Amino acid sequence: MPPSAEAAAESIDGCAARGFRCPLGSLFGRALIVVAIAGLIGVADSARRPIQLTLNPNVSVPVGAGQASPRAAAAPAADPHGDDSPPGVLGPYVDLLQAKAVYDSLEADFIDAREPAQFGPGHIPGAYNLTQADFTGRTTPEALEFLDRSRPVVIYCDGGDCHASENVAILLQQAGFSSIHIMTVGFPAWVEAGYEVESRPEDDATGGGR
Amino acid sequence: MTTRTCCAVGGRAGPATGFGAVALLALRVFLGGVLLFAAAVKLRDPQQFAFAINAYQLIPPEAKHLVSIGAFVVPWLELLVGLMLVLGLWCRSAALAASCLMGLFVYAVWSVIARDLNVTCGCFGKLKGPFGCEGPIGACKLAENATLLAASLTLVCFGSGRIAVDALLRRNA
Repeated sequence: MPPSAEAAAESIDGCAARGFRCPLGSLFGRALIVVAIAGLIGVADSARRPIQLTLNPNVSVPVGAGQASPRAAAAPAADPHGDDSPPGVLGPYVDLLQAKAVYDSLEADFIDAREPAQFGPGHIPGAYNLTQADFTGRTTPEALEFLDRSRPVVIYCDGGDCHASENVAILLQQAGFSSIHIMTVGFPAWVEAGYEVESRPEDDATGGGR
Repeated sequence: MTTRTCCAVGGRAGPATGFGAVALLALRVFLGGVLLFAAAVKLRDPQQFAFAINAYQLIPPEAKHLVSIGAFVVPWLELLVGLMLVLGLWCRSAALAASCLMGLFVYAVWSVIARDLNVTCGCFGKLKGPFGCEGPIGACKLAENATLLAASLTLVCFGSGRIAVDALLRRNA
């Protein structure tokens, strides 16, 4: 085979050797075809398996509805998520004082959504360690065996731009928990306020309860 | 005559022979395998990958539907491209698509480091990647993605080699 014919045959599509002009056979054209096919399959798949990225506040049962609320003892919340729950009722997002009041009243379980390496050295006493990675795969997270789905839960992580507590809240909502609350300021604010902190060896980092 | 060094887009990079062919096969299987593994992990649990994309904060909150779509399109693209690379089918085009994907990942990781965000990659679920990077995103993850980008660009330049479906198709053309 002459060099020029061999080069043409080894070209990306061989179109030149056959004397055709076929843009979809070019390097970029074929790459675009691959991306387009993946895009179509991906969009179809996303319609079949919906993703939840925000906590659904309408599903969550508020703490304090129809009873003496811990919020009565707490200052009004400066809620960045626009919590419009009526006075005396805790919405899905709670501030530090509200969380402390719920903690003292023993009305809720506390969940630490940070990594075990952060949980071990210091966490809210009695809190369970439950990260979003614990929900990966088909097995149920160990901590869920100890938690009552009908009891309120307060979830926290590092505060600031930490997404872990919101993600765990969504996963708990999907797992059937009915009263979910996020302490938006996170664990650093709890420590800064001088509230009680507990530490636990890393090999016993999951369990909690009071 | 076979040209081995041409990297021009649409150029005539000839198929390597001997050691070159085996090296290209190994590179294809490595890159394709990494992509297939990453795709399988993400498609098994797209909710977790959507959380990971969200944590990068590259998509504005008002466009969260794009996060949901991206959580499926990215792994399906990884799956398709990974399969094509392993088989050596439309290899250079698949490698070009992989390069774009890796370029996007490099940018995303660099942006997380530059903004000092505390983000876990979400690339391989709970498992480590080929570099064994652990914990929040940092220089290790940047190096891992840059290496994968270099690998895919190498395949764009040199093609599939002789041990590939592309080579079979060329022989039958």
